[in-house]
Amino acid sequence: MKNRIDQWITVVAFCAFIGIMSLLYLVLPKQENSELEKRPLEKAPEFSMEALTSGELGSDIETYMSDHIPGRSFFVGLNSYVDLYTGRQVTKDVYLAEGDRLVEAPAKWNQEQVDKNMKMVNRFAETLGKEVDFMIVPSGGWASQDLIQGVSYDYKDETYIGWLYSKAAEGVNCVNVMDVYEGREDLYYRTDHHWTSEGAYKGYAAYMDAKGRAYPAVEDFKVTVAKDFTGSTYTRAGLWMIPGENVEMWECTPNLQVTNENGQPHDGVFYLENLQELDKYTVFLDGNHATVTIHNPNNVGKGNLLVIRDSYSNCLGGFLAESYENVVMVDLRNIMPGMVVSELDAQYDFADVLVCYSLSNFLTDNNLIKLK
Amino acid sequence: MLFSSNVFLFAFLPSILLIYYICPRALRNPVLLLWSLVFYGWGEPVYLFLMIGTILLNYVFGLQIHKCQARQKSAKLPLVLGVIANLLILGFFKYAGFFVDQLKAILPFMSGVETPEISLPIGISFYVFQSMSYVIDVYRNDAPVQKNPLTFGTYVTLFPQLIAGPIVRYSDVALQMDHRKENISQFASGVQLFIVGLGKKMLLANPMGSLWDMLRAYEGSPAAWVGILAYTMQIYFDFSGYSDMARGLGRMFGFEFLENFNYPYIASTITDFWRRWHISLSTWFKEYVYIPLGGNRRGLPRQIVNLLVVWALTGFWHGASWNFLLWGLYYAVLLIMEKMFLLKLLKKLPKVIGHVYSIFAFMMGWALFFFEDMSQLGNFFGQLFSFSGSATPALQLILGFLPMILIGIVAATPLLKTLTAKWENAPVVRYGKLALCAVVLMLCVASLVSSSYNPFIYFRF
Repeated sequence: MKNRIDQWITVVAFCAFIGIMSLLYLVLPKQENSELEKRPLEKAPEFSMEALTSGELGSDIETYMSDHIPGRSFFVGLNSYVDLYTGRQVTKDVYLAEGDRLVEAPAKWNQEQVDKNMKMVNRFAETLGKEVDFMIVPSGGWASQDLIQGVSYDYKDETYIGWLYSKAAEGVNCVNVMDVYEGREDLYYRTDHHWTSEGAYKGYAAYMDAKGRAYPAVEDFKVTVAKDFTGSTYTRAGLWMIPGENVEMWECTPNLQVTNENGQPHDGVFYLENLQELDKYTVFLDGNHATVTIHNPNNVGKGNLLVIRDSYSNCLGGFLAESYENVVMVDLRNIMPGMVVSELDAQYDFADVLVCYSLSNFLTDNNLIKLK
Repeated sequence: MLFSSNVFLFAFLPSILLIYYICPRALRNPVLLLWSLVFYGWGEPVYLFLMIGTILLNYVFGLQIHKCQARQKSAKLPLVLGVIANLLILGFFKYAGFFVDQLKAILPFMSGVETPEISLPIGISFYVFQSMSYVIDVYRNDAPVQKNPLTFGTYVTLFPQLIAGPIVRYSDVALQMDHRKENISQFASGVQLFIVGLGKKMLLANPMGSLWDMLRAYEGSPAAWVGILAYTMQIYFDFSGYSDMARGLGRMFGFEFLENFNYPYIASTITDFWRRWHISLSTWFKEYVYIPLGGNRRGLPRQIVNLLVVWALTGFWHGASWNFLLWGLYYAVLLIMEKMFLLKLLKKLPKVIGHVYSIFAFMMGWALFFFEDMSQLGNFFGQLFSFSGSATPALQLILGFLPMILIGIVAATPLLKTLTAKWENAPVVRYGKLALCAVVLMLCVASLVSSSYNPFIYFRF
């Protein structure tokens, strides 16, 4: 039978594809870390008799190759779009919503963990002997739930937050902010799981209203903008065609003083040098730190605030500092072992104490046990 | 090594193709043998010794049988010894643990004995069966003896079919071992078949498998029915995908293996199903067990016994566990019923009834096949026939996978093939196939790469 052109094309194309890919493996320089994935990539496996006979060498080489495959992010993106358009986003941890919005899938409820965490909050109020305010911020997915494309699991933020608030003991005041965020997907980033600066401002305003404290109006803030931010949901979804977005920095009092556990004081709550990094959210208070103190020299005598918090407060902190002399923020995930948070009260004699978490973090975080 | 891995696609395959085709013909079998041993030893190098031992053993028995026959003497002894040796290897590595466990359960004095923990050497069920077919084929004069141990080794280890079949009988490839002519159109069809197989495995079997895994967490009939449907598709696309890849790779090196799956899920009877499912295994049992036992030539009662024996063995071949035996006997009962009256009855009824009956029968079969634990199996059948609802997340999961389920159902039928058969040689079909293969290959690589994509983002929360 005469050989046809399509057969030649098939053979040549296939051999060229696997051949060129394997050549690229050999000649392309290898990266040590993946900036996108924020993890070290597998190092070239070392040959040893033991690794060979145990079969470990084989699996190491496979991991190494998949970490360094040429065109890795292209293939990851391709796969994400295939999964999306064949309806399988329901199984992913990030959903696509209208308006190029990427939101986290609903938080998972683990009764045991949740019971524990609530107990810790209640215990903290008791230890401290002061009233503790408790504010859980609903998820961006819940706020955008009507916009999600295709099949998704249901968001139960109302039920979950309602349940948490119903377990608050005496001395724990719950700050309900559901109304602030319901249907307001614009208060969250499109490509990140955090609230935007406006979202954080609304949370701040709601808290100040609850406390009966004064706070600046929206017009009092000067807003600067950084472009091309792509955050955590973008990285996780792998839908690379989603455009980046703006990060807004809201500033009212320019001379805030920030100190974190590293000691070095910083002028202002914005770490502008971090805008050069892939993760621009770290512009707020330099990302996660164990303890951060924001001092407002214009507010002497207005009392101090303690915040037990997650990364939502990176952005919230700057706002809170507008209404207190000192805002002390503690991230339980990063504190030194053995640190007793309630002992801070002797130094600062806090006027208010706030436990502020995003819902999904509060449901899953297993560090609240350190809250003493 | 797995076909669906980076190492295979971008290191092993390009290098073996290159070396194979620049080597002179005389060196091609030894090169294949060497590479196949690397392929086999990749995950568990220890078992290379077992592999080489099996090759030598069968090579020697083949020669012995040949020698006896050349001297006009009975070759029964080397044949029986050869078969026993193979069965001992398989028995020890695959079934020893199981039998010790069973003995411990019935004999009190055995209770102190430790169950041997032998990890199953990959592909042992396949290559031991292949080796046995060689010894028997030589004995029966169905195939010539292979005097070159390297060529014989190449036959046993041939990497395309080494770890998941098809079980290539020696008589089918004896000629190809020494006299095959690679050519472009065979290579091209091999590439296409390989990509089709890879696509079945990565793009259909894997998603169906994860759906089945996720649905098992839910109770109620919808979750159970869609779950077993997903498993039914997973096992077909996985296994037939692997066979396609094996046949495709074989063609790239000039081999032609027999078809192993022929759209089994369109069968209208279970007899028909087993002519289409894992054909190389059913042929093996038919040739080397059923027919030697007398097949259907010794009256109905004897035939029934033969069927029970063959199907018990077929079931047991799939794994050392009671559920596989049960699964085999389940098919024996169905096949016996079909032989006795069901086939005649089904012929009189509309064809759709035969299909519904067959689909139902093999789906229930897969449930037996999946659950090794009898109480889990019982519970699962309870869910199937409780006609109770499933929780909302299960329904959302099913809804989300609906497009994939529909694609899977279409892909399990010859619909596309039938539609294009008329214009098989038209450029639009030929180039359409080519384009489809290119897309499928890209999607497979994408799926392969994505499984290792895990952004570390915890620190950001």
